[in-house]
Amino acid sequence: MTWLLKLYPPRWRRRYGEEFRALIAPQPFSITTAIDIIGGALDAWTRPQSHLTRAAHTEGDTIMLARLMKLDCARGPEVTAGDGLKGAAVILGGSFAALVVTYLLRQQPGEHPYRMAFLSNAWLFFFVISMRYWLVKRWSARAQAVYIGGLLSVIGGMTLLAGWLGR
Amino acid sequence: MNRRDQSVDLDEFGRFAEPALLILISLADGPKHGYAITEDIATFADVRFGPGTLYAAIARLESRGLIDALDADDRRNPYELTPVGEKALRARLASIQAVARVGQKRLANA
Repeated sequence: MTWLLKLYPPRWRRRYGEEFRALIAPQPFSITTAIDIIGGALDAWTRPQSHLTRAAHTEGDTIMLARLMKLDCARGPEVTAGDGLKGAAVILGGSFAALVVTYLLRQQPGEHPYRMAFLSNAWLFFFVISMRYWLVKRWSARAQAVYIGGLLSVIGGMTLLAGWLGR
Repeated sequence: MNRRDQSVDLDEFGRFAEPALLILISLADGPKHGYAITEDIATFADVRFGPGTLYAAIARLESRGLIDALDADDRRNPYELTPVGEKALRARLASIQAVARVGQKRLANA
């Protein structure tokens, strides 16, 4: 099960990786433990503890204090005009494409509740995808994938539920 | 802010409040590493936390200065209770005792 350790953020692994590996290495594979480890990894990504961030600063790892202050406190993740345009293009372009597809599909006879549920919620998917250019812009590629992928999965699940209810 | 002057409420740990409390209790009789903490908690509380839960709670406790890591023993870091951790543990146990007393009193009068 030690391969599951790769799901944790690098800073977390640098601090706890060795002892965590020593703890799980002797254990036989079990679904319950695997789910617990995956839950722990999600927690480590979504709620990084401050001492791990501080440790990275003292190592001169990536971020200077001034940059962090600007990023976290002052003006958000430095969204440029170009980022704003890209985000808007994703939301508007995606929503417009969904609108066209919806119009074309309406010409077909019959009820398609799942298809309609997805097309109705299409703008929400593109809104979440656009976060890559603003809300999570400075995050690592993996953190972005976890955050945006997680949100898309939740919205996808809710949309499927809406389609099922609309049958 | 000086962490030593800070009082920490375990409630802010959310779903990790119970694992955190049991870890503090486990460390109250001396430093232990992750595996020893798990085994100790299984013995006195009959609860066995998964590694993900255990280390999520350990990271929170360490971040707030309630426990400290000692030098690595083999590949495993033992942890010890800090004075702030001891204070938080005493406060939480006193609160639990007060609630238990009320419950027992009411049961006795029932």
